[in-house]
Amino acid sequence: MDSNPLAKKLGIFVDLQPGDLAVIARWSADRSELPARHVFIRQGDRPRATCLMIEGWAYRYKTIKSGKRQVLGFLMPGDMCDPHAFILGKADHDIAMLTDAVVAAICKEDILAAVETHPRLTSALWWTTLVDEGIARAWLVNLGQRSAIAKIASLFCELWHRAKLIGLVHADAFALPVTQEQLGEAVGLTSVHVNRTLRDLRDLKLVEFRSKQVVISNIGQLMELADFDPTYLQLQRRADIPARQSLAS
Amino acid sequence: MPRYFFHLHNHLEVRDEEGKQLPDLEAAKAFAIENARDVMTSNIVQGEICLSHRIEIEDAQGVLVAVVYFRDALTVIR
Repeated sequence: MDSNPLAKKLGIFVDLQPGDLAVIARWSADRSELPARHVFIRQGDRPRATCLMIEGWAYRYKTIKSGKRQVLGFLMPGDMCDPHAFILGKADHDIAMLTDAVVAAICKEDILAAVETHPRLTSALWWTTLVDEGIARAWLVNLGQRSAIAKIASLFCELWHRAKLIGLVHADAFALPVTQEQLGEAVGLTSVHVNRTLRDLRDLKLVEFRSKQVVISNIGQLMELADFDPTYLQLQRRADIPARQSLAS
Repeated sequence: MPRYFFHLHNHLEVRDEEGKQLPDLEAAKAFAIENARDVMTSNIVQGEICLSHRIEIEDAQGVLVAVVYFRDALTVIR
């Protein structure tokens, strides 16, 4: 398996050929090290490039007039912030680093060129975009319908599955570099409420969240509590999508 | 800005290890009221609130500087 996190992720969906891997390597070449809290793009900015997370975590959020923030999603290695971001005139939310991170900036021309010549890679990019949309829908359901404990449980389930996919879960644990406040901003709860709910999850012996580390001792039970069905994350390759040779490779 | 810690006492005691930086004690009290109201929403959907529950505010030295009772975060009109 390729060590490039994007190749690792897309490789779940399609059999990437040497030509596809070469494109991904090219996309990953223009790297910068960004410190935690660095804002990659601000609401209102014109996206110059698509960002690809190589190392570290980032998040999307929108700040409203009162200063309150809604976190819209978390980005981990292998995630791209909208492969087609450059189509938009202006970004409608901020993306900032949660940890010190290594980020590759992929310019518009590089994406467009690859889309024209690498159909397999293109379909894999559609797949990631559709998964991202599925995640956004799941967040809507979470915000609108779930109890506090199910909201947090369900977010942990999502992040556990995504982290596992790229090999970041070790012995039931993964690093979640967020504060309780940021967790609250993701699920629409205040930080005291989050703290209280984390205590319930701990007392139920399902999740331990301490020092920015999540330990999930029984993912099955946690998924049941959260009414979490991972189908929308499309973790399994569909048998009806043939792994055809890409035209360019 | 000073950091304040918000320890919840409802059915059990939940210590705040993270804290939050706020301009002053008034802002910390306002933050506690907002948090108390939010915690109460979870109780209300289950049909019950306990007005003697409270949030204790400590400063960075661990000194208790204020207590916000849930009853002080609400006006009940019957």
